[in-house]
Formats: sequence, structure tokens, C-alpha cells
Amino acid sequence: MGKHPNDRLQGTLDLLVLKSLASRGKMHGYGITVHIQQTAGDALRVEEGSLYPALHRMTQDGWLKAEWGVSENKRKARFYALTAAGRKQLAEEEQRWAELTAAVGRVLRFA
Amino acid sequence: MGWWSKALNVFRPRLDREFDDELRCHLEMRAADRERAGSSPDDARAEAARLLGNASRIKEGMRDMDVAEWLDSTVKDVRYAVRQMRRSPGFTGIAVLSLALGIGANTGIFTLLDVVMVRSLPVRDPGALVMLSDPNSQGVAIGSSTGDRGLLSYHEFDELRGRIDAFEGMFASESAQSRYDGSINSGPRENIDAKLVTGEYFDVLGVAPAAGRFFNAGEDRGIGKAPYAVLSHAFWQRRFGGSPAAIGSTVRLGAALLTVVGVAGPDFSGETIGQRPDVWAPMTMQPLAKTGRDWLKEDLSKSPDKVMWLHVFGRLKPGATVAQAQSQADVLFRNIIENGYSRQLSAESRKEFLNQRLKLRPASKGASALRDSTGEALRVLLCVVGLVLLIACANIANLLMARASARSREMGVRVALGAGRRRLLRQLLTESLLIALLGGAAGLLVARAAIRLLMSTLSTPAGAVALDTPFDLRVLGFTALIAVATALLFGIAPALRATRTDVQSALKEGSRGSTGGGGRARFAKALVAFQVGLSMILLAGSGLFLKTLRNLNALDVGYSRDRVFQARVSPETGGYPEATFAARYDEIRDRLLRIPGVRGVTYSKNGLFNGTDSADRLIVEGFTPKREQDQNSRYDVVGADYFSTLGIPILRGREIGREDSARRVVVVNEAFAKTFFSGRDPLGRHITAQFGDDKWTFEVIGVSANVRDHRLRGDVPPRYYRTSQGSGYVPGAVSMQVVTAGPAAAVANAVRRTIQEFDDNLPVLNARPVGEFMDRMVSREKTVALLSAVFGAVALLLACIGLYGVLSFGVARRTSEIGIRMALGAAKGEVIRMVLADTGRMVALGLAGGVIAAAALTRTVSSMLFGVAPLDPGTLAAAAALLVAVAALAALAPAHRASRVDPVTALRAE
Repeated sequence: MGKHPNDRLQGTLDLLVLKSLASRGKMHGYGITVHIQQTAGDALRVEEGSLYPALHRMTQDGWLKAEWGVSENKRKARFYALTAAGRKQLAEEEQRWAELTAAVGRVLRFA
Repeated sequence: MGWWSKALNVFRPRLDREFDDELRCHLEMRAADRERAGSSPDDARAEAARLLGNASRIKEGMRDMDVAEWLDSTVKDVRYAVRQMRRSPGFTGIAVLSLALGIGANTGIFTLLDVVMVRSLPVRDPGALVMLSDPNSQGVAIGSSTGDRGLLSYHEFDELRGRIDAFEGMFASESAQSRYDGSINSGPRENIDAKLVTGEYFDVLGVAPAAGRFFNAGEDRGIGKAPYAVLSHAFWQRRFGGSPAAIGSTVRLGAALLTVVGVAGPDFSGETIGQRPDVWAPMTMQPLAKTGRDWLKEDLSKSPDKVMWLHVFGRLKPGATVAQAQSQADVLFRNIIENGYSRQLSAESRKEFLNQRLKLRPASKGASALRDSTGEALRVLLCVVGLVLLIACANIANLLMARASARSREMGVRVALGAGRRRLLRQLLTESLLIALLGGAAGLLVARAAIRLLMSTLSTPAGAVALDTPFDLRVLGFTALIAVATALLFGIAPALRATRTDVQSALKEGSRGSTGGGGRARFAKALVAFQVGLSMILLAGSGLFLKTLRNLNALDVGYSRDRVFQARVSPETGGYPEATFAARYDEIRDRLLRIPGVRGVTYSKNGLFNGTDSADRLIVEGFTPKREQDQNSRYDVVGADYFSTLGIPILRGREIGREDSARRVVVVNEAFAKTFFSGRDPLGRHITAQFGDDKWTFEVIGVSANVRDHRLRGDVPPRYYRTSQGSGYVPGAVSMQVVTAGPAAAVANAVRRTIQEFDDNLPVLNARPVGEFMDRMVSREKTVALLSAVFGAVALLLACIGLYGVLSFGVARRTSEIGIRMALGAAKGEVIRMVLADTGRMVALGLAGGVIAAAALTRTVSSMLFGVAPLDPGTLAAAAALLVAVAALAALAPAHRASRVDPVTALRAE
């Protein structure tokens, strides 16, 4: 599966989505937006316009599975949940993120 | 999710609606939250829309992302792959070349197998065709037949046609096309391969002419009434340059002068696979085309001889079945033979003659005598080239593997930069695929050459093998399929390994790019052992086939192979009356005797390895047959001094001399004496040959040594030799055997000239040294032996390259280890031993597996072997020894390099 040119940042969004679903279980797109914003505070804004394409892509990659359900306020909504592949991907992305931040950290310390 | 569903996304309006629903849901929920926080409904909605952004662009993104991005990244992958390939032209060259060889050989043999065994005739609805003759039979059989009939006579066809209701049409065709010393437009003599077919032929097959018209059933009534010819498309192109002026030209075949009326389509080359006639002529021209022989007439009340030479086809009516046709044919055929054979025959003879049946079978693939003879050889060869392709794949996998470790740093960097593993995998596999497709494309050229080679080596005494082998979709599909399969085979393991990078260690400075070094080395060694094993199978196989060929070529046939020239003459075709045949033979013999360098001349009815044989029912004095086969014996009709001229020893009694020519005497061979006279003295005993109610009794005057005159394999069957005039009939054609002092081929021109000087109208057929007749008998063995030897050598070479590569890489990787060992006092010899031990382990493992596999596989080809057991220890040992020797050679350079490692440099680099 290909990535957008901005691989790293895209990867960040993926990581955030995967992590949210891992900690909260099944959620719809709006729920994910709200969850990330509440957890991260104002420092991190989810670009809503890129969230849905990302959800779609990750579904096609087999990381997420999607199904139609009814939201808490009785609306029809599309719910996303992690698959086994998604869980594995999350572990990889987390490690990669740790490596990246560690590397960036090293650079900042010694540069 | 696969490409397929991505492609499908483009056509899915349903998805679009789902996107809409999802985005609307988001907007509503956001707006509701805003309202709860105190915004007015309008503001809340506007705020929600602002936050989400341009909905249609998002939707667009979701919809197009898959297809567009996939296309985009594919283009990038291909570009990347091309760049990688150009960066290492050596690797690319070797990989593409070995794949071209492997894939090409596979495609070539697959094409032939497909054409011979699988493909349907290029005619209208081939599934409705039914054969009433045996598709595997070919030739002309004169006499009687029992049980299921092979070929049919013209009379039988004539009685059947139009009378089987299940068929909408029937036709007959000459089972073996004939080569004529013919001419075009009264020009000089040239070889023309022609086939006689009945008028219904083109119509029932349902083919269209490329030019002109076909002759038809209405014209083909009565001998000589349809002096027409249809050209094959290939002959039209070759001989007339495809000119429309070809229509109206004349073709002379024997005494038949035919006018060309049309040209067949380019795809159509007849109903028999393996034959490609130049010309089709109406069957009623037969007595003129083959002068002196009328194969259309049949009067069984006079002689129970049938001339069985035709294939007969029927086309089922829509809805009719083979079973219906069979039961209708059964009734008709019963009538034909019951009314045909004379009621004057003894009850016993009649019963025997009436024991004949027709066996109908579906004939969508047409007739072919090739299926039996070459099918097995082709299957063996397909296995051989399949193994070679596997070895080539193992090699490329190993090379890719080595490169993967060299590139592990690059992979590590890319992973660290966020490239997904799938993406990298895909990139590497794209490269493999590109290499394989290039190999496949080049392989098509190799396949063309392979097909030509195979067709020429597979030709038999019965005639040259000529096949239409177009590169159609099936063949291209097969090639593409094995190219993709090989790409996966050699590409997947290295790609998986290359992308399983540990970022930390890959990026660690000083890492020599030995990612998973131990695992990689193990895998590479396993691949080499695998290659050695496959090579062992191939070498053992080719050893067995080469031994078979050598045994066949060295087989003592009982006379000199190199000193006998043979030519067939037929006074019957030359228009001489039967009463003068014997005198003509003697005259020709005496003329041939005057050629310088000729030591002796004799002749026989069937000739040596000429493809014809005779047998009759036999009663032997004082012998009670216990088995069915003891009631028959093969025989030949021979000229005077046959045995002494060819140098065949007479064991008892005397041979047939000049004074015997009209006497009813025979010489029997040793096998005959053993079977029929076991223990008794054959001399002076009588044997009686029987055909129908005709009987000829002969006195045995001598016993000759067993000689091989028709077959190289198997036991020499019982045979007796009659005199030319004492047999009740003089054969209409004989093969002259000219025994020479020097090489037989040297008298070829003189023999031909001498016969033409005797009578220019006498056709000289099959004039060549006896050794060549035998060579063509072993053409199948030769093909298999030569090709398996060539591919065995290729396999050996590839396995050695693999071994060399792995050892070199191992030495390079262990430079520092070797350095330390040497610093600690290891001698050069020990280092060399270390490398050789490594080699030894791989080779031993491969050999062990290879011997076991070879033992299992060679047993399946035991019927193709001659004079050598499938588990011949000598062959296995020789193959193993060859492998070990070549492996040692491949190991030498890396071992030498290892022994020259300078401890100081090696350790400083650490």
C-alpha cells in the first residue's frame, strides 16, 4: 500500500487513530476526532479532512474493519475497530515513533 | 485488500453514497455538540462544515486514492526497479539469460506437448468430430486384421459414407501423406508431400479456402474424374510467393496431372498432427498418383487382402452421440465384412476374417502417430527443463539475497523514514517480476529455436515431424505464467528477508551490512544444497539416457552398419508387369555390382529398418502351438546370397543361393528354430504359411544367426526368409542392399545414377546408408539423451555459480574471523580446509537428497532405457563424482582467497 508524500506525518495520524481505537475500542470517525483532541489538548489538531481518507485507506489495508451501526444519539454511523493486523501495525508504528523521537532527541542533544 | 477490489472501487456508486452518509453523520454530530455548547444551530452547522473542509474533495480523495495512488506507486516501483537493474548490469544479465534459457526451454516443450497432445484441430466445432479409425495408426497395411481395426480400406469407407445417420458428413484421408518426385507446371522434378482425401474432406472439416475453392464430394466420383489440387497455405507462400497465379497451375504427382483450384487457410494443415502436406488431391486420383497400385478397388471374393490405409472421420449431427454412431456403424460394418469375404472360404478362415470391429472415438484433436512415440519423451524433457528452471531460480534467489544484505542499510534508512514494509516488499518484487518478464520475453526466442531443434531430432523413419506451432495466447499465457511464478519463486524469500530489517542494527555504524547474517547464510547454503540435489537428478538422468543411446548405437545388429547402402526400387510403380519383377531385380542387382567399391548386392522385400514388416499365419511340421503368438511368424522375402552378402553367419545347413530363387525353400533364424523346433533338427522340416485359404509349404534348408533388421530393442523375434519367386508372389518393390568396401554414403550418387540409367521412370526411394535408417530409429532416444545432457551441463554450471557465490560471500563476511584465526596461529591449510568443509557439507547434503530423488524418478523412465538399469551404480557414481569435482573447482578460488587474508588488515578494519 502506498503512502502520501508526507510519509512521516501521515504515519503520525495513522498512529493516533490506531492508538485511539486500541484504547477505546469501536468508534466512529467523529468519535475518533473528539477522542484525539480531548486527549492531546489543543497542542494537536486532527486535520478532519485527512481523517476520513486515512480511515478508508487503513480499512483497505486490513488494519481496521468498518461496519454501520447506530451512534449514541441514535444516528446511523460508520464504526471502526482494530483488526489483528492493525494491532500489529500499531506496535510497529509505536516502535518506529519511539525510534524517531529518540533519534530526534539525540540530534537535539548533540547537535 | 487486493488490486482487484481497488479496481472495483472505480465502478462503485454505492461507495460514494457511503462516503456521503459518513461525512453527513460527522457534520451532524459536530453541529449537535456545538449547539450543546451554546452556538446557534446555523453557526454550529457552519462551524462544523468549516472544520471538516471541502467535503467533495475529501470524497474525491477517498475514492481516487486507491486507484490513482496505486497506479502512481506502480510507475514509481517500475522506475525504481529499472534503475536498480541498470545499476547492476552483470546481475541483470545473468539473471535474464538464465531465465531466458529456462523459460524458453519450458515454453518450447510445452508448445509441442500442447500441439501434439492437447490442442483441438483448427476447424469448425472440432468437438463433433469422430474417428472410425485408430488415431495412432499410420501407413499402409495389406492383408487382414483382427479385433479393433486400425485403418480402413477405401471400399469400407465407401460403403459407410452417407449411411450412418448420426453423422451429418464423413470423409476419408490417407493416413500417411506421401512424398512424390513430382513437378509444378511441368518444371523440373521436386519433392512434393501430398495427401489424398475424399471430396467431403474440406466441407466436413468446415474450413474455408484462403484463395480459389476446394474440390468437393460432387466432383470426386470415379477414378481420374477430379484432376484438382488444393495447396497448403505454407506451400503456396513458399513455392508461389503467395501469388494468385498459382490457381490454375498444374501439379504432377506420379501419373496424375492436377490443376490447382484453391489454397487452404493459413491455420489449417490437415487432420493429422505431425504432418503438413503441401498438396491435397482427391482420393479418386490414387491409381494415377500411385501407378501400378489400385487401392480403391477391393474384391475380397478373389483375395482376402484388404488395403488398409485410411483414416475415416465423421461429424456428428447436433444432438447425436458417439454411442449412436457406434451402434449404427457396427451394424453396417458387420454387413460389409460378411458380404465381402468369400463364402467359399473354409469355416475356420471365415471365422477368423469376420473377427473385426470398428471402434469409434471422439476426434477433436485429430489423428497423430506422434502421441504415442513422442508424448513420453516430451514429458520427460518437460521435467528436465522444469528442474533447470528451478535451479536457475535458486541461483537468482541467492544472488538477490546477497544483494539484499548489501542493501540492508538502505532498507534500514527507508524504514526509519517511514516506508511501510509492504511498500518495500512490493518494490523488490516489482524488480523480480521485471527480470522474470524480460527473461520470459527472451525465452520466447529461445523457445522458437528449441521447437525447431526438437522437430528435427524427433523425426522418425515414418517421416519428418512437421507441426504448426504458432505463438498464440495459450503459449504466451503459459510463458507469462511461468515468468510470474519464477519471479515469486526467486523473489519472495530475498524480499521478505531484505525487508525484515532491524532498524537499529542496520543503522549502526560499522555494521557491515550482515543483517541476519547467520540466517541468510543458512538459507543460501540450503539453496545451494537444493541446486546440487537437482543437478544430481539431471546428471543421473542424462547419464542413463546417454548410456542408452551408446548401447543402442553400439548394439551388434549382426552385419556392418557402416558398410551397407540401401535403396528402394519399385518396378510395380514403374509400370512393369508382375511376371518380370524378379528379372528386373536381378538386372538392377547386376548393374549395381559393377559400381567400383561395391563388394556385393542383395535385396529384400522389407529392407533393413525401412519401417515395413510382414507376418503370416504359420503351421510348423511337428509343432503344436500353445499360445496365440506361436501361430504366426514374421518373414521376409530375400534375394540370392542374402546372408553371405550381408555377412550374416549360417549356423546350420546352407543359405539361399541363386539356384534356389524359384524353389520353395526357407532359411529360419535361430529364434525361429528355438521357438518352433526346440531341440529338433530344423533342416529338412516343412513349414506352411497360410493366408485365407491360400497355403505355401516350404522346406527349411538352413538356420541363420539372429540379426536385428527392424527393431533395436527387445528380443529378436522368430523370422524366416523366403525366396523371391518361390513364395506365391514376387514383391512389387524391394530394398537393394549394396555392401561397400568403404563408407556406405560414398556410393549414394552412383547407386541413384545406376538405377536411373536402368530406367529413368523408376522412382528411387529411401536411398541412404543403413546406419542412417537406424539413427532415425533412435531419434527419440537421441533427442532425450542430447537435451538432457545439455541441460545437465547447464544445471551443473548454474549450481557451480551458486556455490561459488555463496562461498565467496561467506569468505568476505568472515574475513575478520579468518583474520583472528590466522592471527591466533591457524595455518593456511586449516583455512582452506574450513572453506572446503563448508563446500563438502552443502554438496553432501545435496547429493544425498539428489540420489534419493533420482532413484525414485529414474524408475519412471525405465521403459525408455536400454541395456542400463534405472539405478545403475556406475552412472550414479559418475554423476556424483562429476558434481564433486566441479564443486571442488568452484570452491578453489574462494578457498584460496580465504587463505590469503592478511590478519593485520582484517583486524584493523574491525
